[in-house]
Amino acid sequence: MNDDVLIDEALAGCSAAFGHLVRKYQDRLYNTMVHVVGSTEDARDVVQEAFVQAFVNLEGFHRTSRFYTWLYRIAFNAAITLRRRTRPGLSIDAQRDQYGGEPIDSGPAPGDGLEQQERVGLVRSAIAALTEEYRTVLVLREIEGCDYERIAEILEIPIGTVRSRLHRARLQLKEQLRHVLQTD
Amino acid sequence: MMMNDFDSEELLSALLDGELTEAQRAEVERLLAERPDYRHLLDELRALSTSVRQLPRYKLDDDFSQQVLRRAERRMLAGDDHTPALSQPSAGPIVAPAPSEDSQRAAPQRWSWHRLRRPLVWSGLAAAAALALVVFSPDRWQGADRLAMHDAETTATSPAPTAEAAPATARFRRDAAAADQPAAGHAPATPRPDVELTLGAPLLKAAPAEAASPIDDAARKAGAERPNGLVRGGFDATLREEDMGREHSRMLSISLGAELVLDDELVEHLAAVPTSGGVAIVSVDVPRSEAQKLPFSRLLTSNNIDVTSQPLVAGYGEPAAAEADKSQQNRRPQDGQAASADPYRIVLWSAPRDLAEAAPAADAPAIENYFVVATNEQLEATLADLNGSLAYTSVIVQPSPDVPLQQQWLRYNRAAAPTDRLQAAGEQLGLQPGDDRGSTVAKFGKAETPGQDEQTKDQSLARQPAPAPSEPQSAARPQPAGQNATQAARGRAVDEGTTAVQQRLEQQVQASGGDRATIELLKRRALAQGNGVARQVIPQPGVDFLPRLQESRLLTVDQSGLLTAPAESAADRAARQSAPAGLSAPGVLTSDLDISAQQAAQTGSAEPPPTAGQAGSPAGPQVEKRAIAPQAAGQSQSPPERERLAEAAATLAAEPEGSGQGRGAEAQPAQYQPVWFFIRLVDPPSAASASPAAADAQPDR
Repeated sequence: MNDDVLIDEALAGCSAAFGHLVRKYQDRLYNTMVHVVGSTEDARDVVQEAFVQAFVNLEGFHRTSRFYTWLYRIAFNAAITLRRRTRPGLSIDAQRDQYGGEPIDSGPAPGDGLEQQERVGLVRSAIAALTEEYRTVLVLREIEGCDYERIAEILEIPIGTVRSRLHRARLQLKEQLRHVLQTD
Repeated sequence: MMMNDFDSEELLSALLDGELTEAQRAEVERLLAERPDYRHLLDELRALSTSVRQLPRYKLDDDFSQQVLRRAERRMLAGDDHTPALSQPSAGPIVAPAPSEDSQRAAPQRWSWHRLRRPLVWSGLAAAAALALVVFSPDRWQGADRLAMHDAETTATSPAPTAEAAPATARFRRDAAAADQPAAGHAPATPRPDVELTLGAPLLKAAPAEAASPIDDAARKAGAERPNGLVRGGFDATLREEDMGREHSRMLSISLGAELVLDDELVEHLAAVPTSGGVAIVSVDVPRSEAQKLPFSRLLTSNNIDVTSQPLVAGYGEPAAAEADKSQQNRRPQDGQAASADPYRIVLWSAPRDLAEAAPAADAPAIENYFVVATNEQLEATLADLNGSLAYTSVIVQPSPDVPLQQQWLRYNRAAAPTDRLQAAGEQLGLQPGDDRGSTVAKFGKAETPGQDEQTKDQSLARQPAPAPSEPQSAARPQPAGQNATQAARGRAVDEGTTAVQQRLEQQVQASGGDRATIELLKRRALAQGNGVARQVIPQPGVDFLPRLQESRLLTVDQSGLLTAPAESAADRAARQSAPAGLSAPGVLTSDLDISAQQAAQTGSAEPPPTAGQAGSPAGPQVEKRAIAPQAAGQSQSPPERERLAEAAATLAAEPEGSGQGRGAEAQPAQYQPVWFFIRLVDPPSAASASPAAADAQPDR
């Protein structure tokens, strides 16, 4: 169902309509936020907080942008606030340890075997080690699949900045994963 | 790699992402042709991108959306940016920056009732033991909406109200002195918040309410575990102090459509309401006809909702009425019988004046709205009474905020078959005898108080018409949006039909000359037709309504959410059989139709109802009809009365085609669907507006 219709119904008092919006975007947003905030627990809180804020402030959503964009903006603000408050610094090892035992969905893994699992862990850790501004752009592009314009809209930065940050993020990530990439 | 050619390398990333213009693409292709290191970098970036995109994806729980909605409700009630889920013990609460789209929102936040009602209702009900009901009468308010707030823990004994017209935005502030004056045995009252209601209509200012009927500690302690005399559904509903939310109780009432502004204090209070004593708002519209006001008042009284005429909002009644109200109010604390019998009776009625005295203006709206503060048990009992009383034939459940509009009608009108028949009956102005499919009347045992008059007994006779259980899952089916108009039309038709039925019933009752047996017959026939719309409990997570019913052993809830009567235990059966006349044994769910049948059987002038397993019973709705000790058991009946009852039994006990399978006593449980909340009782048309044929005014025998 169209987002605008669901929003209208939610504003009319139909909470279930907003529930549809939540279900529509929750996994996408969550998957993105896991890589942004660095842990599933925090990502869950951030996503929940984003939806709650969206619901509470739904009347203030003037639909000048897509709901999804607006929602992501809220989520990224919440994530930034959370990271600034709770995570002054993270090590790759800590991230690796944190990611190690987390459940993931049942979708196809990038590969089988310990080597592939290790590779996944390294990629995650490398992403987590990026600075925040690089990580957010990279995640939105590679994980979420946003184009530059959408990224610029969500993060409220110029498209040129998006392209620049994205490239720098890739270079940093490439350096961290140099050994991984060389084995390919 | 040439790091000093960052701009050029950046183009490689953009090429990878498909974000280049034609000119840029041509430039990059030229570079790639000239620079092997660029080609190598592009391969690395592509591999890197693939690696990242192949990361396993994370998913959230299936019930995440419900968690979000629950939290959003709390947030809307709390009205602040406190985010418990993000708040760690080691850190303060996170305050996420507001997105730009809503940055223009300024405090205090304005919640429309439509968006607030779910929090207030569902969250409240989930937590509620105390339910807020407020009363107002459109004719007296002349269309003004209002908002009142007071302590539910105290008996409202406001001083003589002072009328004070307020502008469209009125602010109600509890008198500071009253707020600082704690009730005996109670902790000092917390500062009372202000509540601002913004409406397009003039408002009246609330008068402060004072604690006038304090309950001493000993009495409260002794009574905490003691039934308060409320008997509903065959079990004593013990109202505990905490259930009544005394520590946190506060009544908040708003009218539908109002835009409510919650200030910080109030939302803080609401947010602090514990799960054992929440507040919910239920609106009930009651017909204004004089003939039904007194029964309604008694109905509330029978459920321990005191009907006082003390207005909670100043300026509501006439001065004389206010004085009378005051004297009545002052009389209550000295009413030793009431106090001793029910120390926890909560007096939350805020009618402008005694319902029996209130005379509606000729041009007043046809509906009075009553909001009554009560506990869950009281609400349940009241709804059950309203639901089963013919005095309120048209019971329309307002849409649930959780259900899409196109599903509302079916969700609340699952007894479509009875209502369709009712509609047809209304059109024909005739009650088709024997067509009682799916409309078995469940009767709850209910203690009768000495002061209960016949009219109240009449109301207690019939409870909880059942829906047609032939399609138990129909309510869960999503309905196409295109059916919305059709369903709305059907709903209107049902309303018209129920009104017509009631109209005819009233005429027949009048024509009966007050013959109670005839009236009973008429009522049962009408009930057999389906008393209005469907009844259904909407199961919601956290709502303690269903467990309470289940604990009462009256009902169980099946997987489809339908209430089901459990099999009667031997102890219950023995208790039932030993119950005195006029009082059904607790825990016994009975069918009104079987009352008729058994009464008829006792008279020997009609066949007894089929027994369980009786051969020849056609398959049909699975409705349990359990024979019980009838109301009139042991009472002598006059021959005419026996004849009427026999006729009633012969007519009403006749099974419609395919409906006899559930005749067996314990063979199939009854399924019926009590109304949950937002009941709207439509005022029947006046006698003057009704134009039935004179012949139709004769009782249908």
